[in-house]
Amino acid sequence: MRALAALSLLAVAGADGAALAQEARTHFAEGWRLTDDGRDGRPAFARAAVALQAESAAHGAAPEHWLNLGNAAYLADDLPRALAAFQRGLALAPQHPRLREHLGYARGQVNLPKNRRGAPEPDPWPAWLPRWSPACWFVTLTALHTFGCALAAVGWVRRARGWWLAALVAWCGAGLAAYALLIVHQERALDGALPLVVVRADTTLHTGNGASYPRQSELPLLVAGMEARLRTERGGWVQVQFATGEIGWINAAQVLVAR
Amino acid sequence: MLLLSAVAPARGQAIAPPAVGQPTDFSNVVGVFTLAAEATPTSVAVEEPVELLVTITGQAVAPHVPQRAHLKLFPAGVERQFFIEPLAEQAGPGEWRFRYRLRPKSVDVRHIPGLALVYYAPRGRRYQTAYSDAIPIQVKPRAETAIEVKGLQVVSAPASFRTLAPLPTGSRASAWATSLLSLSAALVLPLLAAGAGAWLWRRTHPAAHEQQRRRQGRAAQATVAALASAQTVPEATARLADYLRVRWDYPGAEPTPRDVDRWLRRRGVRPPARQRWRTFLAACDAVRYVPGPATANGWSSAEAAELIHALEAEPCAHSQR
Repeated sequence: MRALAALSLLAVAGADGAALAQEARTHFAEGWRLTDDGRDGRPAFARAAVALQAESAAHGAAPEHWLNLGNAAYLADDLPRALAAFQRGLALAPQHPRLREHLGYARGQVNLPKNRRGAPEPDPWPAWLPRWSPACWFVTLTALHTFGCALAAVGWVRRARGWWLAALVAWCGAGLAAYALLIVHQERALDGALPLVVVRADTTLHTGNGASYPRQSELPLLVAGMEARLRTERGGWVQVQFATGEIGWINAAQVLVAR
Repeated sequence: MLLLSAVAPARGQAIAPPAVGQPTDFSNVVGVFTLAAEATPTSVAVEEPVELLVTITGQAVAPHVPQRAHLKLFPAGVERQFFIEPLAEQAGPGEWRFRYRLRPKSVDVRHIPGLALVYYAPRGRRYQTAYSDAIPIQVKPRAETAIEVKGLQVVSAPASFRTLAPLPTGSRASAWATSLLSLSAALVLPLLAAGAGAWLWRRTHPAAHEQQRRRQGRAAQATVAALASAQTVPEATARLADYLRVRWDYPGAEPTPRDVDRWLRRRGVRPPARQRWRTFLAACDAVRYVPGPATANGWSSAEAAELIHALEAEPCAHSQR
């Protein structure tokens, strides 16, 4: 009986999810229809974003869900929410090409000051390293390392130097894969220690956890879409650190936790 | 609209208008005419177009018929109020229509001024003028430029923003790929497996290993025995060369001290053993190439056997087939 009840609950939840997905797609399509007619499609895109946000519990593990949410939020002129959604997706799939492309495009729309203070973190991924998924790098590492071990074992049994050299080459490839995984691991560790936040609206950065504190001297004004790392929280204010080094306090309501 | 009726029809004969007393705004038409003007629309913004239709009705005496090039309808100074462009014209029996596009230059323009057609009336033999009334118009300030471009009311975005991506059926989260546990397992397990495999192979194939060592030992013993029966230095050198070829894959036909030293070094033989071989072969060469018969003088089979034993004692000798 309990199993039957659970099944019926699951069926209801699935039906709700499907309805939400359909609703989001309907609003999204309506937004584009209005846009193509020369009218304002932003409200429809905003409704699509709300519907997609409601699906996050069900599809939050899929990078594509965050891509869709980011697209809808961006088209609804909600740049901070779009940036946060793209970052959430990239936390799941760091090398997702469309997520990276859309994040870069959305970042380009942030009205940063001319001195580039408050600019987002540079990409830690080396340009010469292929952008494979972590799973792909893991498989590469395992395969090359296993191959290298096998070659070394043969070299040990046969006491021949050539096998050892071949094993060394395989281990070099495995080291490259380990390096790629290390970058991803470090980024995830950084996300865990200092979550990434996006400034929700134009606001001020203070030296303490209150509006009565003076403004931060190097970066007194923040614009919507700036990205920073959350260091600590106190009394409804959060201390953030920007990639360009500035540290200050901002009202917690003014930030979106991206990942 | 003002209509001024002409009263005398043209006779058709050529009549030249007199030059004396000719008005400066004479439009070079002869006959009797009326003039009418009509403007649409009458309420425009600055620099928006107003189409003015000028209709000349009457009977003209050829060749002095109304022609746009000769018409002087607009009063002086109208250019300060309007931009004027000629448009189409149409001529019919007793009626000529000329269209103009007027654009008021400022909101101070209140009317299109009355037009005047100065013509020569042959019946009265004098110049006469037909007028049209001024047309009041309303000129509004120009509206702010509004660019009506489709899609401008939304944030511009690349085409890739246009579609919603389909959601995958299964989870693609790859956190396991970067966890320390999985990485440790991926690094340690192959090492353990390879080590265990090699150890097991060595344990399960001892006969092959020993057989190889015995084979190697037999080759060395055969060479030592052959050396004992060698009577001359070239013969002993040939035995040693055979041993090097069979046992160490030496490729040369005639072993020289330098070549043998280089070859043994490549096979991993340590310097002391190589030095003994080089010295021995150099001594053999000295005996072989001096004038006279190459006898066994200075030749010791025990010394040659020592050389072979020294090579067989090298660690790398165990990996040689």
